[in-house]
Amino acid sequence: MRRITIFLFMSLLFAAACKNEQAPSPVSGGVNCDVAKITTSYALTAIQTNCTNRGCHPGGNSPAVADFSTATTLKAYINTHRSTFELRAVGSLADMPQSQGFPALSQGMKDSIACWIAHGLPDQ
Amino acid sequence: MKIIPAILLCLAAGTAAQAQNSLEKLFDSTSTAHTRVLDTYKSTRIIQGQSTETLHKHELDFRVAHRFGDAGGEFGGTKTFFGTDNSTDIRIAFEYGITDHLMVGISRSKGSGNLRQLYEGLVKYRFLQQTKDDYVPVSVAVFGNMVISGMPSATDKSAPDYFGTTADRMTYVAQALVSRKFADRLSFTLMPTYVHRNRVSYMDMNNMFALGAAGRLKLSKRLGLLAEYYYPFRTTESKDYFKSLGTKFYNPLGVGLEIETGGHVFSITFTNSTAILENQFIPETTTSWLQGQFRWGFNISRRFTLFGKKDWKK
Repeated sequence: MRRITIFLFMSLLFAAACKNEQAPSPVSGGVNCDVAKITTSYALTAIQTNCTNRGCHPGGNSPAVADFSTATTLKAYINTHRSTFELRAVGSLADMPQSQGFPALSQGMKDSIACWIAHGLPDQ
Repeated sequence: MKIIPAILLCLAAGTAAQAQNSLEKLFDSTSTAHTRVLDTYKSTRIIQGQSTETLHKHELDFRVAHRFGDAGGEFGGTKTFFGTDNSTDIRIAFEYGITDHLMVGISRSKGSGNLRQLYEGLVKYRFLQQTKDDYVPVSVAVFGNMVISGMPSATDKSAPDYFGTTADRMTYVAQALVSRKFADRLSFTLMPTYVHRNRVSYMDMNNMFALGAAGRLKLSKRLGLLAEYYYPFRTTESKDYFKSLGTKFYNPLGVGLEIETGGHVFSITFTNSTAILENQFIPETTTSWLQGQFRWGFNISRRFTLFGKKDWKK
């Protein structure tokens, strides 16, 4: 009897917690890339705030290949791994930043960084 | 529609309670008249997925699983020492045998995919065990888990990790496991699986079925070769949408070696999927073996007997 009660309780818990929800279609974060002026300074600040710490992209550490510690290394990485960066950082299913307490990038920030890349990583 | 996942999960968990008494009798009768097949697998997990093995009564299993970064491709090679500089997922778990056929567990994983910082509760019940004379030709178990993410919510509502309510953080798996050991060396398992994710990104699937298959070839008394594959049934519409955004999904495939050393079972694995939990590696694998995006990893299991060995052997 006790066992049945436990499983009935679990069933209720499952039923109460189950839902089917799909996120709305991603919309632009309000960035008009044709006129927006996104600079390296903005992109570097955004990435260093949200993607780098002692364990993530710090340079000389893991992952060594994706060093975002300076503007030069960030741009070098994007120039050589553009598709990967776009897929994992600014794409619709971007899985970066991972864990380490970082929240996901906002759509506006993703759009801005994508725009910066599309414009050729301008400094000014 | 909302109730279907609950029913399936409750079937997985509830079967344990409903059927236990009558089936215990079956076990009792088979244990005398029909010898049970033991060690279809050495561990409760094969590579990523569950086996039909369960813990003994009062046995505590401490498990650590780790998956490294890409061994090949642009993130692998010598610069990351074939992925060992990075970790894609890490899981630490405690699992416990309530009876010889019913086990429960809790775990914490880093997570790899849309959700991270994952806390899992699991239950597995084996209600049929293969016998040597084929009176019972296969072992059958059901597995269910419930996973909740502890990560901070995204601010963007279109992100899959935006959590409007606590329920948005939850995912579930219900799985049937059917295995057979052929002769002494070969074991084979089919794993029809249902994954439910409460909240997914646009055009992703809340409910996904998959069929898994796995096998073990015993090479020596302590060594086995493992292989595991899942085919997730993702709709063409969903595949096409993500493909248009540059994301392609791949079917999880893993191979490994299972080594038993006394109280430890150690598995060295190679998988294309980055995640460890079924809730993620079945619907969210976007890495391909052919592009070098496979990784090595390991599962370590250390079992402890609680309340005295004599008690659970009775």
